Amino acid sequence: MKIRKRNNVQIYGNGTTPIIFAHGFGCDQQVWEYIIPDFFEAYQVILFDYVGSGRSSLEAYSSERYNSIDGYAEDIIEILDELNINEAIFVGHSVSGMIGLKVAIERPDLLRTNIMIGSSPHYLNDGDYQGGFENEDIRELLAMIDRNYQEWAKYMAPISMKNTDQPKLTEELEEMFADQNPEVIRQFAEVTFFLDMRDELKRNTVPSLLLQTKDDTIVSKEAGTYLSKHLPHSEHIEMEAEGHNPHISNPDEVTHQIKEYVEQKLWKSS
Amino acid sequence: MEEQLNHAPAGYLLLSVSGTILEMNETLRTWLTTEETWEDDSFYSLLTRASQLYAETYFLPTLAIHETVEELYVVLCTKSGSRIPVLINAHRRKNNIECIFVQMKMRDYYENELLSQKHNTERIAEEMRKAYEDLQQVMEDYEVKRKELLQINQQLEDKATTDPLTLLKNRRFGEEKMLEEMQKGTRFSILLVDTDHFKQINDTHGHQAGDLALKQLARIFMTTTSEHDVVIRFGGEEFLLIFPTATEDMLHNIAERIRKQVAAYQFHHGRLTVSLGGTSRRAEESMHELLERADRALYQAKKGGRNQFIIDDNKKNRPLL
Repeated sequence: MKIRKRNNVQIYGNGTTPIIFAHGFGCDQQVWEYIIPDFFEAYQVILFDYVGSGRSSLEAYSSERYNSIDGYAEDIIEILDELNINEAIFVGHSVSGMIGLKVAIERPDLLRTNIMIGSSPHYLNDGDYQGGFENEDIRELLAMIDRNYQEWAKYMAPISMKNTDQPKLTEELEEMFADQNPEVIRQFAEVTFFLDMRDELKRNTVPSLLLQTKDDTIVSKEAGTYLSKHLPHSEHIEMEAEGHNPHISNPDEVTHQIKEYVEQKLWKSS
Repeated sequence: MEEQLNHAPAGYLLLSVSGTILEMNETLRTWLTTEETWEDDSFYSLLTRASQLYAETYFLPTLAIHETVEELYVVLCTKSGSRIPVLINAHRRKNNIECIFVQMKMRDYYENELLSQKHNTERIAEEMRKAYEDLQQVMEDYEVKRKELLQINQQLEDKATTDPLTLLKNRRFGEEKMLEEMQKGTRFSILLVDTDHFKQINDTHGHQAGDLALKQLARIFMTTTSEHDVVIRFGGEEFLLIFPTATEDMLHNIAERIRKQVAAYQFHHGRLTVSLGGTSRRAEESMHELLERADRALYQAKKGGRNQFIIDDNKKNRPLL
């Protein structure tokens, strides 16, 4: 299957510097809609959906490939190879920051930098490490996904349909997305929330920027601190924005931080 | 807040787009068993940890993109720690988020029942699928083993019914074959063939020459008979040939052909002849009686000077089949 179709790859912008935005668990490329317009002028903007999310090809999903973040990292590697891109600027939200790290370890040639928004190396509490969640919290979340997955699926319906004049079409699309296997969402949740990348951090060689917010209910203070302390070649910025989705709640600040880092630091140093 | 909304039979919550609590009605406050306002707290502070995760990854992003969320299931957590399952409908209006909460304690009970039944069913289906796979595997293994056994049996059977020197079938096989033909009730004919002066070959040329002569004889018998006929090494230098479809009349031609071929053949050690006695089975005749009559014919062939065929067609005793 063509990778561009498989991952619903969309390319925008007039620039030549490639910047790829990777969505986190439970959503799709639509979450970047407030951010990307500011990059159109000077960048080649690449959006995609992981297999199993958004409008990717569900038939490409296999529970073997996607039972760890390796399969998701493989998606990114294959997309960049397919587009013949290296040295891309990678922006990953939440678990995608860690998926980007995996790519940086496996194929450092592909990434110029890895910018992580609200990423955590490990969500569970483990001895002295306070990831923020107990095992039972995650179990409860998985049970909630079971109950709500139809609603969740609707959320993946295309954004362009939200004010449509053709309610029937929207309904059909919602049904189509509701058909997505709840097991896929569930497995992505397990991969995300049981992830432990703490031992991998030291293998990083790609310059990384950690964008963290105040009061992120998903990334504990300690998880953020642990990440900035143990990830080589990284710098850490605490933003004014609050919550786990600053790219939605404070897109201007996120855009500003990315551009500042890339254009003022990365480019001037090289 | 209007009196009616404040005491409506549903919780009402007004949030900023980033999830800060702006207003809460009395009903919701009562559920949460609190006098406090909760205002300026985050929406997440009302939720269990798992619901926080869920709301953060689903609720606010969905509102940002689709501006409305319907029938979202989450669990509220009161300050005293008890849990209230609720359904939320929410939408964005005038840059705020308005939410309506409906308790669903009973529904929650039913849904939990349903979900646990669903999981049970899925588990059972999975177990059955697994069991079926295992069974398939067992059957495949069994089939492989069965074929191996059949092959081994065939090999053993061949070994037990084959004469190792000439690779002809042995006496046991010959007797079974005759019994089989007798059971079928077919009329069949037999030839007993004895090598003339075989002892002399052994004495003069050695046992190896004798063995070689027997092998060469076996080859002649095989090539002068058809595939339905059976050639048996009956013992020592004696052979039994079984012709399931040959009549007494045909037997004469067959026997003469064999006799001539042998006599004309250049054996390793030199020349060799055979004597032949033959007959066809008669009705009700036992194998023993049949063989005895053939043996008598062979004896007469020997006595008559060897290198000849005698047929026992004495019709005095019993009629032909």
